[in-house]
Amino acid sequence: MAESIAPVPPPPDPLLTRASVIFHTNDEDKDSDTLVDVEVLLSDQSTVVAKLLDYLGHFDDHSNDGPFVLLMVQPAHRSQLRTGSVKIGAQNTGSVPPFGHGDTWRFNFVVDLLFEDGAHLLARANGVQMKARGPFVFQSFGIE
Amino acid sequence: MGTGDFALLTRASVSFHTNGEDKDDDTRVEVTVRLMDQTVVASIADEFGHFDDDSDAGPFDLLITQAATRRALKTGSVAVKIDPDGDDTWQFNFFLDLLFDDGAHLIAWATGLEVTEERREQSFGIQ
Repeated sequence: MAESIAPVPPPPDPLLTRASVIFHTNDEDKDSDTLVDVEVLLSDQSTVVAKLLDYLGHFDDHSNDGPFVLLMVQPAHRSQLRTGSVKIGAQNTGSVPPFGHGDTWRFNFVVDLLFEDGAHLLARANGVQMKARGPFVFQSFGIE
Repeated sequence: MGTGDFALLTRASVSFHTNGEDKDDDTRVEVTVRLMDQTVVASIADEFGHFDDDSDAGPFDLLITQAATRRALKTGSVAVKIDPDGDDTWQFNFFLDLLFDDGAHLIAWATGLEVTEERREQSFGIQ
């Protein structure tokens, strides 16, 4: 009789359970009225998996802020997020028309994506600069 | 290739951000990753040069000396130790990135640390 061969189980593909971001502000602070948008996106660049939209207060020069936990919007597996991205935006509409006083923010960040098996994916960069005046300005970063 | 808890460590690297007190160029820094039983998995020891106030340094790759799975490292720790030549107070943040052969990570990080010639070492859990 032929010996039966057990099928090889597929590798685990755990779900994202938490997304958080930490910032280190360098030599240009973030004003308290500058709105920050952090989005974790799938590779289609339109499916939002997790999101944070908040003023978060003033980030002083040479300060650490966070971790801030993102709102989970859409379930996603680790395999999907390997090809995803993180988009960070800033907007300052301020009180002076038409586009406020503007704000230049220089910072480092780490986005930590924690999965149900306790492992992580990351997106991070140092020396980011955003000049926020009027509509949102965005920068995108790969997930590793 | 291992997967899940059996994924193997393939790279360990550490990055620093120096805050309001620099690291002297002759202060040696040791970073050691250990399992719960204190087995050393990866380490680096180097003077790295001067770390100026409010500067980023790294990532620096650690030498992996012992094969380890993600399961084993989930209960591990990392120690950051300085060996200054005389007096030195260093204020910094660090980020340890442990990369496994399935492409996922474990990490350890902390902000607002201070080590001195009198309090040379701090240890942190891996998450």
